[in-house]
Amino acid sequence: MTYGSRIIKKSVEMTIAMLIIIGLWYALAIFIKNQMLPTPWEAVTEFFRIFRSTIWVHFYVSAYRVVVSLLVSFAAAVPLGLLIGREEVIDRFISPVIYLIYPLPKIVFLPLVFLFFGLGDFPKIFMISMIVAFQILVTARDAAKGVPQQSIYSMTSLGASKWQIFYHVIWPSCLPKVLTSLRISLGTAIAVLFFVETFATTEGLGYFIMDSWSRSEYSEMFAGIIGMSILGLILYIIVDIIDARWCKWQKL
Amino acid sequence: MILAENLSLTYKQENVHIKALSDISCHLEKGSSLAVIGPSGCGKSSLLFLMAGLNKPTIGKIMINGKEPDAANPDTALILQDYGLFPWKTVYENASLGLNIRGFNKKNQREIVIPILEKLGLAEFVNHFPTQLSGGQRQRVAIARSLALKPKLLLMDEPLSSLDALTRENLQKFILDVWVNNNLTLVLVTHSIEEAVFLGSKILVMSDRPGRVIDIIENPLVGSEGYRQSPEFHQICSKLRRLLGVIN
Ligand SMILES: Nc1ncnc2c1ncn2[C@@H]1O[C@H](COP(=O)(O)OP(=O)(O)OP(=O)(O)O)[C@@H](O)[C@H]1O
Ligand SMILES: [Mg+2]
Repeated sequence: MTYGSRIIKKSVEMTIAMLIIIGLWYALAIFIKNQMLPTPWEAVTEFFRIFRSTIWVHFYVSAYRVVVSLLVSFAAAVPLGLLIGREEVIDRFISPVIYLIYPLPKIVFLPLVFLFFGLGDFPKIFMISMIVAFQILVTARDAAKGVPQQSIYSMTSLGASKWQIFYHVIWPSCLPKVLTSLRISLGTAIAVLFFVETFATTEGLGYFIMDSWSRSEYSEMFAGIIGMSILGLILYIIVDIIDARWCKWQKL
Repeated sequence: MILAENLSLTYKQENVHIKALSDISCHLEKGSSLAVIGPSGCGKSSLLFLMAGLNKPTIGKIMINGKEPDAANPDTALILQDYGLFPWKTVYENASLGLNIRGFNKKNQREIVIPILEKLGLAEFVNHFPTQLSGGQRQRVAIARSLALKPKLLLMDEPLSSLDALTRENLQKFILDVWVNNNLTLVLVTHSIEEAVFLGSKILVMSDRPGRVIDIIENPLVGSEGYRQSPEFHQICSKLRRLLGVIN
């Protein structure tokens, strides 16, 4: 299948899926008949009506926070994870620490983080990054451990340095797993984003949703929810595109 | 070219010691070939890794051209059975990897690699990924990568064992040509008796673990026309079967 026809097929599938979801939503809205759940039509109209005046600003701030968080955690966690996975000495010191910290619900440190870093964007980005980075770190480490020794031998006998082995073998062979963990982390990242945006800020979709709720503006609230969903979808598609370009070999 | 004296190798892991090789001695002249054969787990790969400089013997010494083997030596090329090619690199990228690592510029890489790929019948597959090739084509790419470095010593660990019988015989002929035409010294680990006799001017027969030398058989007619059909070929095969304890 060519690249173009694959995109068309995917778009058709997504449109159908979207119609199904909207259909279910519509049925539910009619069934419940409560102003808290507007019909899709009302919500979408509201979304476009207030997009330029309000939604866009909140969308922009939220997107900024989550994208920076993802980039930072990817850039920090992947190299570190690969290194820990390949260097036994480092592994022996760091892995027990990871083992203890990994299961901790890091979100409970939110008050401390706000206390130390104030109330701006930084503590929010810090919180999301910390949670996402751990998931990516563990995946990258385990993937790097799984690289067969034979592949390393092949490289060594070609005269490769450690850095060349990372570049030509460890990184590309772990990338598919790392991208999968990134994809899984996207959901977590947006959930955390929503949570941190409900505190001490007046910007971001999380704030907007909660604020609309407290004002009983349910159509607005749903416009915010749609914005949040679109943000997640766009990020998901971006990871898919990266995957298709960098891991072409896996899809043959 | 290769001189091994009383090699022993013991793998030490936390508290288990696995003795893989015991008192192996052999030598190999420049331009000749050695086939190493023996039961599974007897230490054939371990011996090859010693020659490649990827590991050091516990006792004894090994010399290649009067020097201790060094993994980074560009005169030695190693082909491993399953993990030689990287699935995320195209045929061309795989074949030029050694040159890339050694810092050849893009233009030089092309000038060296493309003619080799053409000669090995891989010209139309340069942009394919390994999964898009047959097993035999993949092994030819692995060979192409080694030849690109113009090695003097080529070490192969069961390069053909995952192939079907027909492809296998074709590639044995192919390796024979590569060996003769490139002025190489060749060491080939194999499970197959016919392959050992077809490709080894010497055949090193190893015992069960820890691998010892049962015998080193001279095979002077290797590479001669129609050797596979000749009575001498079958004689040596029978002798190997006896030595390895295979019952006819
Ligand atoms: N890195 C290692 N650490 C510990 N033991 C090892 C290691 N590599 C090999 N061994 C052991 O040494 C012995 C010889 O292994 P080797 O791979 O050299 O055998 P082989 O003759 O190549 O076997 P096969 O024909 O199945 O490939 C085996 O018992 C194996 O378990
Ligand atoms: Mg082996």
